[in-house]
Amino acid sequence: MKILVVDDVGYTRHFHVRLLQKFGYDVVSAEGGPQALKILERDMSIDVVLTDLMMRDLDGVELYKHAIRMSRVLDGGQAAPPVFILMTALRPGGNSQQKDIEKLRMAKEIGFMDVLYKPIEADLLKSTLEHIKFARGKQIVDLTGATRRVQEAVDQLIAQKDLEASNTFIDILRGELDRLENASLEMTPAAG
Amino acid sequence: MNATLTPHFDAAATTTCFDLKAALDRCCGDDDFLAEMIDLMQSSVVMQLAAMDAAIATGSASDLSEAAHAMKGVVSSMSTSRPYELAFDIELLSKSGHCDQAIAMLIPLRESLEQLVAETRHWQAQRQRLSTTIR
Repeated sequence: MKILVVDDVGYTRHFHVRLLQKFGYDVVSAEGGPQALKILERDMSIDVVLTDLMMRDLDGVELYKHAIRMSRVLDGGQAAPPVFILMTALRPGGNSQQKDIEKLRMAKEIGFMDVLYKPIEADLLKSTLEHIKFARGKQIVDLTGATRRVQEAVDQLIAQKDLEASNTFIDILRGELDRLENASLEMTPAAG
Repeated sequence: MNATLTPHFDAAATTTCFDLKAALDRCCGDDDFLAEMIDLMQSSVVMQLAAMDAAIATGSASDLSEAAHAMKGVVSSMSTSRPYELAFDIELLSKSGHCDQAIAMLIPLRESLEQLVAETRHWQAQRQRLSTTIR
């Protein structure tokens, strides 16, 4: 999984890049929103954007708004948009200015997957990214067509009142159900 | 105003600025990583103090607020006590136009940063001694 770290403070940018590298991720960084947009334009392999909220040229919320309008196309079709995580030192209940708190509220509403409060605990960042990695790596099994075909076969067997074919079909389905049930005993949530 | 830090770490001080346990936790318990970040913190603190001095010299409240915001980020992984709180206060005061109050807080900020830097240098020296002993 590739992560883009966006922060206009060199120290915190370096800290998060190094931390994510320690976690084993491929990391690139940008020193502000405009540079982050340029990177997102040319690098379709970025899965996650970890951005600061308060930045000089383009803050984290504005970066998100620009980035989601960006068309990211691969040879195989449209690239999945990256997941955005916001980092901020603001505290909703603290003594931050109202307009900053409003920006934080907006970030949560417009589509940031998570808001992490600085200084970010390493374990929290790690588990947040593992959750994203699991969700993005999971192949979606489309059961719509398969379910429809089974229903159509059952409808046909009932309509034709064919007992022998019905029993054969029931045996096949039972066999498949047993196979799925046995296999599911070995499935764990982390194996996805 | 002079942006250079002159550490005068008072070993008998009852309060500490450097939260070693929290800082090490944030570096996943890796003291090489922490040492790297301490080196960077020490140079970044000097840079941000210089940026604050420049902002005051030019009378720019927004530059002072930005430099204080950056300072807050620099010290946050080492300390969430006095230097962090003072940098945060300066950021908010300058952002809301109370520059005189913000400037007045630079003296305690500078003192707390000197203490933070001295404490981190003390840790670096201890680590160096330990490393030499082990060899």
